[in-house]
This record gives sequence, structure tokens and C-alpha cells, in this order.
Amino acid sequence: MRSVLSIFVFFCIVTSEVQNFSLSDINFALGPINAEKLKFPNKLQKPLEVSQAERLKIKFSVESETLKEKLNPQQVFLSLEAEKKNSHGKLTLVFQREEKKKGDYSLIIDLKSKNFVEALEGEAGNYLATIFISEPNYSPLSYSLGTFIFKFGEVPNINRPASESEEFRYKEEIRHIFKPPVKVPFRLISLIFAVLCVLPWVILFALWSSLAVNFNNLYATKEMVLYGTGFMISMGGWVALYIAYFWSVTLFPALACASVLSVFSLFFGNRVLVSKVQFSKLKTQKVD
Amino acid sequence: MNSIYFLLYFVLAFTSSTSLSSSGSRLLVVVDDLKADKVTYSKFFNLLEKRKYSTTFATATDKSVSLISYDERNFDHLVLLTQTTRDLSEELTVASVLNFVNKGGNVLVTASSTVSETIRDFSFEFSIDFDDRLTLVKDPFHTAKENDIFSIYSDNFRGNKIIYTTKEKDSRELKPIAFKGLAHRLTNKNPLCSPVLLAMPSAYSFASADQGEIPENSPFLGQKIALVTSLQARNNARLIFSGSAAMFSDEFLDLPNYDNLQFVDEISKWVFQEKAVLRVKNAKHHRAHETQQHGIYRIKDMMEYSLDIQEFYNGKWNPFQGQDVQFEAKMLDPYIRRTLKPTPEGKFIVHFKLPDVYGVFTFKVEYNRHGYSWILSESNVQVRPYRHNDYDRFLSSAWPYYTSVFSLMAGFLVVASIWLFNEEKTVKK
Repeated sequence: MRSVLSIFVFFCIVTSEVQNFSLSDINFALGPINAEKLKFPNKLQKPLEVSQAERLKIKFSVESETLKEKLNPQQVFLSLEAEKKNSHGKLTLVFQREEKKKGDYSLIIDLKSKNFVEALEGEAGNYLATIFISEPNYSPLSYSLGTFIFKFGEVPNINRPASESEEFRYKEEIRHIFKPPVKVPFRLISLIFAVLCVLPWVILFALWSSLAVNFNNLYATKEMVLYGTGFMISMGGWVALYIAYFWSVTLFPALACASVLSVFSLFFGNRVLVSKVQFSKLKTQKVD
Repeated sequence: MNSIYFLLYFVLAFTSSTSLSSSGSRLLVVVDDLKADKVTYSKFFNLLEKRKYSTTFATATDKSVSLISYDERNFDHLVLLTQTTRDLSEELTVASVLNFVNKGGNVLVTASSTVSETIRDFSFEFSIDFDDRLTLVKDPFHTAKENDIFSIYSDNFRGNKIIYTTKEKDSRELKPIAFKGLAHRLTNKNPLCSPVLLAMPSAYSFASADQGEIPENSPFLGQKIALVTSLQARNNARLIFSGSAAMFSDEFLDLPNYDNLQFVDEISKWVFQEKAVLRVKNAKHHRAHETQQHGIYRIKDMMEYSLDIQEFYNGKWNPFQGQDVQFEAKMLDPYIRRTLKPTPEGKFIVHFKLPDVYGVFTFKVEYNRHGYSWILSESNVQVRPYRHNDYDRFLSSAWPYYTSVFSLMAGFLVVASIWLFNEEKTVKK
């Protein structure tokens, strides 16, 4: 009777009081190699590095601290949280119960998996790993394993949350690249060629002087003086108009001036030619 | 004179009775039971009353209250606190509430494990997917109340400081928020949704009656669970989706060590457009050292673009001080993108040189940030190439050509005069 009573009391304690979880050693395996064994409740001495080509398997069993028997709690999670401030690399994973084995749990983290990289929003680096275990009537267990270092290598094109699309972010500034200015030769070279262009004048003046060129016919008759001077002034007017056009006057005012000037040039040009012919005839008659 | 006093009296009477919202004061609150819910949410309603909303209460089955009449909104804001009514009235169908949003109405949607299909369908229209009926968010590591494993708390605000924190409280340590209700997730199809409060990493969604293990592929795990989500439509209508109606109740607002009262106050201010509302004024562009705006400019002109941006909070328009407002000059693609610097008066100015490409450019300031209302200011300008007289007139490389031309003209003059006036000397034989 006494033993029955003690069993009943023990049963009542076990069923009504909040109990604690206990974990077996945590095994970390990178591919086929057992990388690390961690004794509960210790933390990893140094960060566990997992590179892109590797798969990390975490394995352990859960048991009741009081009853010393394996359990299948409602919640067995692994939380990964980036240590970097303001990072969005956060992920919660569910441990898988090993088939037909009560209380044995394992989880494979495959760094080649695009889903995994996407879930961490492509942020490689240091992650704090925590195991969360809970079950009604048990005190929830939060066990910090330590730091994992994930190295993704080349991050594939991952789908980021729609709310973080480029539309809602500060964009890089764009500065327009202007076409470079056209390259011009040195001014001295331009000057030398400009001087070369006026050199024929020297030859011309030398030849004209040897030919004794003169303007004596301008004063030969009254008509020649009048019309010759008028014609030369109108010619000078054309040169002045060209210079003015080159300097500042635009096309239409230049055309207006040219139309006025052409009347004078035509008139004086005609008259000076007539005068020249008359003077030549007169000269011929005198010689005859 | 009397008429001026009369007008002044009316203006004062009108301004004193309006709410602090920039978009109107007409508020409709839909509940299940008028009498009971007015008691359950009395503190929340008092908050709204203090902010001078003209509140209309209606039950979810009340057919006399319609959101829209003659194509015009009858209310500016809608609060859906109905949880147990399964068949909502014909005036509260998904289509009618969507129409209300399309016309610029703001909606605060609350849910619980017994929420109606109408609310679920309406939320799903915005890519907000609530978990199954009779499920609740559970987090044994973050429980807000003893003996209630479904009352959880979270301080995972996902960095959205515009909706929750105000300018005065930026530096304040944020306390966690107590929550009891339904999990929801964002389907990632709607970029306008932005979570305000997420669950903690140890949370999960679970049917209270179920005692089994959590499936590995559950979409409602840890921080994938959204507790409160905001949405701002393209027409600047605002919506808040909260998985918990309980967090608005007096019971939760009174909880010590949690900031529910502050949180509810802030998110309701946001959703009713009492804060973080932006508007643009005086957008102007002109050549540097000029003041007159033109429609046509020349390539490589030095330009100045300015605009005033104002932010509505504390019942009035204030200068906006955002540091990330950007200006773009684009013709299909942006040629120039520059950050505008604000003055203390809220004037944003940028100086730039027009590109050496001519065509029709759009000067555009588009500011889309979750929390703030979207602003867009754009104007089209023509950019022309150089005219013939805009180019450099005297090029050093053309000096030989200038010399040749004038030499030719002078030559013509001299040769013509020699031909006309030269007296040939006859050589005596």
C-alpha cells in the first residue's frame, strides 16, 4: 500500500509540476566528417565555420531531466540571427525527428541551397545559433550554441522581399559624362599657317612693283574719278559687310545690307566700265 | 463688418471641431456588439475621441451604414473590430471595402482566430495571408501574461521607425508590445506591404486544440510571422492589418511593462493620416542666376531645381527634413540623379548642368519610402542643341582659313582696281 502511495505521489509530482529538459551531446558534422561535439549546456569555444560547398548536420536527443527518458516536444527550433547590427539575416528552422527514434532530432543546413541563402537574404557572416525547445508542462529551454560563420561565396540572384525593392530605397547618384571637347592644334601652329597664307602677297607686291603698276587711269577723266572712286567705295563696302557678318551680324541683316550695296556696286561698276571703254577709245583716236 | 465676424466665427468653429488628421475626421467603427465592445475597447475609443474624430459605431450586420453613397465616401476612416460575426452586412463586402480604399479611405483591420472570411478575403487582396481559423501565435519564451501561453510579446520592429516612433521619441528605448491573436504572412507579391511588428524567433502559429509537433515546412515560424503590417496604396490610402484585436482592448492597453497604449496610439495616428503625410509645393526649375521658369533650355545650361516638401504631424504642416530625397532628369533613362539637400524651411534645392543630349526631358522627384506618403512631382522640359550663334565664334584652329578668306577678298579688290586703273606704259621701239 505504501509503495503504491509513493508511486502515486511521484506520478502527481511528475505530471503536475513543471519539469526541465535535458539534452544529449550536440554533434556537428560537416559532410561525412564529425566536426565538433558539444556537451550541453556548454557553448562552442570558437565559431564553427561552414563554407559554400558544405552541409552542416546538427544532431542531438531531448530527454526529460526528471524522468530520464527521451521526449518528442512540440517545439524544437534552431534560430539563426546575424550578429551584425541592423541586419535582416534571421531565420528559424525546425529540427526533424529521426524516424522511429523517440527524442532524436537532426537538422541539415545546406549552404548550396538557394532557399537557405534567400532566407538569410544573402547575408554571409557570423550568426548566433540558439535552440528553442518547448512542451506543455515543461519549462521552455533556450540554449545558445555559439556562433556559426556562413561563407556563401558568390551569392546567386536571390529574391528579396518585395517591400525592399529598389523603388523604396535610396538609389546611387548618376553624374552625366559629357563628351570631351574637340582637340585643337596648338595656337602657334595655327599662327604659322595663317602667316603662310598671306605670304603670296609679298611675291605679288614684288612682281607688281617690278611691272611698275600704278593707278594713273583713275585720274584720267572726270567720269573715271567719280565712278572709279564710287566703285572702289562700294567694293570696300562689301569687304566691310563680310567682316561685319563674320564678326557679329547674322544672316538676314547681312542680306538686307548686301541688297542695298549691290545696287550701288552694279551702278558704279557699270559706269566705271563704260568710262574705261570711252577713255580707251579716246586714247586710240589720239594715237591714230 | 458683421459678416466678417460671422465668417470668422464659422472658421473658428470649423477648425476647433476637426480632427488632427490631414484627410478628414469621419470615422466608422465596426464591432460585433455595440454595448460590449464599447466597454472592451473603451480606452482605444477614448484615444480617438481625444483626437476629435466624429465617430460612428455600427455592428457588422448593420445595413443602414454604407461606406459610399453616390460615388462619394461617407467616411474618411474605417476600423474593423468585428471578430465573431461570420456574415457581414452587404455594405461591408470585400468589393465595397476595396472601393472605399480606392477612393482614398483609410482602414484599420484587426483579426483574431475567429475572424470572418470577409476580413480574410479582403486582407488577401493586399497579399496579407492570415493563418487558419482557430490558430494562434504561441511563444513560450516570450509570454506577456502568466497562465496564458497565447499572450505573447515582441519587440521585433523590423526597423520601421516612421510608423511607430515619433520625432520626439526616436531616442527612446522601445518597450515590447503584447499580442494575442492570429499570425499572418506577406505573400511577397505586394511591394506596398511593410511589416511593422514581427514575431520573435521562437514564435510559431499553432492550433490551440492540437498537441502534435510543428511541421517543418510551416510558413508561420519565427520572424516569418507578421503580427502587424502596414500598407500604403498608390493613391496614398493607408491600411493597417493587425492579427490581434485584443491588443486594442483595455486589458492589453493596461498591461504594465508593455507599450501597447503608445503603439496603438501611434499606428492609429499613422493609418488615419495624422503623421508622416508629405506634400509637395512650389516645384520650380530655372537657369542658375535666373528666377524665371522656362519650358525650353539649351544643352549644358547650368540649372537650379527646387521644391518645398512639407510633412504633416501634430495637426499642422511642418518642413520635411528627409536626407534621401532624389532628383532625376530622365529621357527614358535617368541622365542625372542627385540628392536634394533640405534647408531648415523644408526647401530642397539642387544645382546641375543639363546633359549634352537634346530632347524632351522629365524633371522628376519621386519619393517612395515605407511609412511616408508617396510623393511625385514631375515636369517635362525641352532641351535644345546649340544654335549657330551659340558656338564659339573664333577658333584658333581656323586662323589660316580666316586669313585666306580676307586675303582673297583683299586680293579681289586690289586686282580689280589694278585692272581698272593701271596705265600701261608703251615701250618705244
